[in-house]
Amino acid sequence: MACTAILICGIGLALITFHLRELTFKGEMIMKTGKEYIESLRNRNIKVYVKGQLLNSEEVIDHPFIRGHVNSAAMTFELAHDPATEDLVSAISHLTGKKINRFTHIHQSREDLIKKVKMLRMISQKTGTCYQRCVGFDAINALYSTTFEMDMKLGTSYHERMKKYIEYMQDNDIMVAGAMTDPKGDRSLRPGQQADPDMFVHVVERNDQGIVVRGAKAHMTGMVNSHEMLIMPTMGMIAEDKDYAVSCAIPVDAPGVLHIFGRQTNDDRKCEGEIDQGNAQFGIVGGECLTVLENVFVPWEKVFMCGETDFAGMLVERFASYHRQNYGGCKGGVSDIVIGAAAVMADYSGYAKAAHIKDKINEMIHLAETLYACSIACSAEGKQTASGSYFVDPLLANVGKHNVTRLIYDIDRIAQDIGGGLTATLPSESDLKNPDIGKYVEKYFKGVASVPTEDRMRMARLLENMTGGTALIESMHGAGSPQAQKVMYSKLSNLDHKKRCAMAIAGIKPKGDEKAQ
Amino acid sequence: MKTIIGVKFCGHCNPLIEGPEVIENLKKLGPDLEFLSWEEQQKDILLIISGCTADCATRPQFKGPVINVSGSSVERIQYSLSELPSQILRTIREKEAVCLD
Ligand SMILES: Cc1cc2nc3c(=O)[nH]c(=O)nc-3n(C[C@H](O)[C@H](O)[C@H](O)COP(=O)(O)OP(=O)(O)OC[C@H]3O[C@@H](n4cnc5c(N)ncnc54)[C@H](O)[C@@H]3O)c2cc1C
Repeated sequence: MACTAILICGIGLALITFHLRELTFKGEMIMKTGKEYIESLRNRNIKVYVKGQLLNSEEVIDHPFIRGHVNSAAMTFELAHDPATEDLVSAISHLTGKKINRFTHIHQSREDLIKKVKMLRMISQKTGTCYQRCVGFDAINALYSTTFEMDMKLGTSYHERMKKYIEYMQDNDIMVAGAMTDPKGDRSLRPGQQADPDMFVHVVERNDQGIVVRGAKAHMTGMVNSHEMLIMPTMGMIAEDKDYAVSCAIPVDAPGVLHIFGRQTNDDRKCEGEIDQGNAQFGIVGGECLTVLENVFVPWEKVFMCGETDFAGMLVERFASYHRQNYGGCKGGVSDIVIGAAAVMADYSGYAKAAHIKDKINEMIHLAETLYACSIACSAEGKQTASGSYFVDPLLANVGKHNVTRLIYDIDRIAQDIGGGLTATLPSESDLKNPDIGKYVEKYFKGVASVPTEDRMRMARLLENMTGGTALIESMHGAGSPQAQKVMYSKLSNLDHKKRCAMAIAGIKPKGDEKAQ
Repeated sequence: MKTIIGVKFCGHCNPLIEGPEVIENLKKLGPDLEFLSWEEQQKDILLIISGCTADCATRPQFKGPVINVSGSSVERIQYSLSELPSQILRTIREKEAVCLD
């Protein structure tokens, strides 16, 4: 008879404990645990600056500003081993047949696309914030199909290189940051027209060994706790932009690379206690940074586009659509936490039974499920690419992300309404623990008698940190500003067809070219 | 000999039921049963638990008896949430009986 052992998912995170014999995989076990991922980051020789200080490379992941983001990313590894969640967080590699972490997978079906969205919602429910690994996931999927089509048309050999790189990523279960956004300088000018040519990453040298790139990438999610980054152009390119049409993989600690970590709302609270942070374990958003590339050498086997300007636009659109697909999943899950937090605040404060509160919570549920529905829809309408991989429906993916730039603000607005003014004005954890005044904080911030004041403070702080500042701006600009989505869906939706339908219903016969009507 | 039930969960992204909790309840109701991972080679029955009616858990290959739970349904018949553990247990017993035949 099988003996049972308790499989406790590691890194001290509160996961389900379920009596199971150690998992027996048919294939080789190549997926890292959360703990293994964290340990692997210590081997890097990475240069990260926080508030003007260069951190000791081995200790980067222990810095209070960074630790939470590392824990959050670690969940993407750990949950692939949890029996309750492995179905979503793992997949079978089409390249090797091995069981791999889904974040390194190339979508092989519509079901894969749907599982991605479900996985993101589920992980968000456990972290309450961004876990960063989707960007690299979307980058490999965008590059997989683009390099295939590029090779077909131009006779290049990028796709085989890409496949080798993906296999390496899968076998070593590495975390790859998706590096698309350039600083861009003057937005009215093309890359080559900028006063400073480094405003867009570009190739400064080509030789028989590889290329040398220069520039920077801005807002880099999870970069400081990744192993490598995938550089992609930030927009479509024209023939004059040849040097800017570049895609390649670079280790985050390659010579010439340095990272300047971004500030976040309330980040100094991370150097104090736990309560005021709201989400002390996992942090807020993805721990973004500016990544500077000072003449970085990249060997040819890690170059996936170099001068093919005609394909920069395709790569950007594919990446953007995959990335916009995510938002109803991850933000759906984050909204689940916000809705839960608002409902708990109502319980703690004694107004949970009020009709308007119930109505507002229902409205939040409606908004969150609307976000989720769009992500599921663009996945269900996905199609196979020439490379064999699956791509989302770009129209619905863009509409979905555009919803996020609005509806998250509505969800958070309602949550702040329900949360009450104390979410903005609470004293600190130190005040609560102060021997002289703690009793007043305890007394005057109490809601219903049975709930400890500390619990009410914790929930209010969670709401404060999830519904404002950095967290909100991510919904606006992450995966592109609203106008970028509007441009895409106006291009993809067939307005002439709608006009023809209306004319037919109205009994108007089209006269030749109805566009002229 | 204990009957070994291999369990496969969906991943629980928006669940009506929490699969691992259902298993804990089943363990209390059927102490003679042993619940292991679906990847266990020696299982007698495969129990698939999807947290909601989307019923999206991946179906592993298995030649023996399979029981499908999705949300509060067992084998596509809907029950109340309170009835669910006993209904799953009843279905397990039926499959066990078939195995013994
Ligand atoms: C939290 C967060 C995480 C992110 N993570 C990543 C990541 O991991 N990887 C990555 O590659 N990127 C990442 N991004 C970058 C994100 O994709 C960009 O912020 C987004 O594309 C907008 O670019 P921008 O910030 O330069 O804003 P801008 O482009 O300056 O946009 C500001 C405003 O100007 C408008 N605008 C811009 N250019 C023009 C123009 N030419 N004509 C008219 N209007 C214009 C825009 O529509 C917008 O309204 C992240 C962003 C955030 C906020």
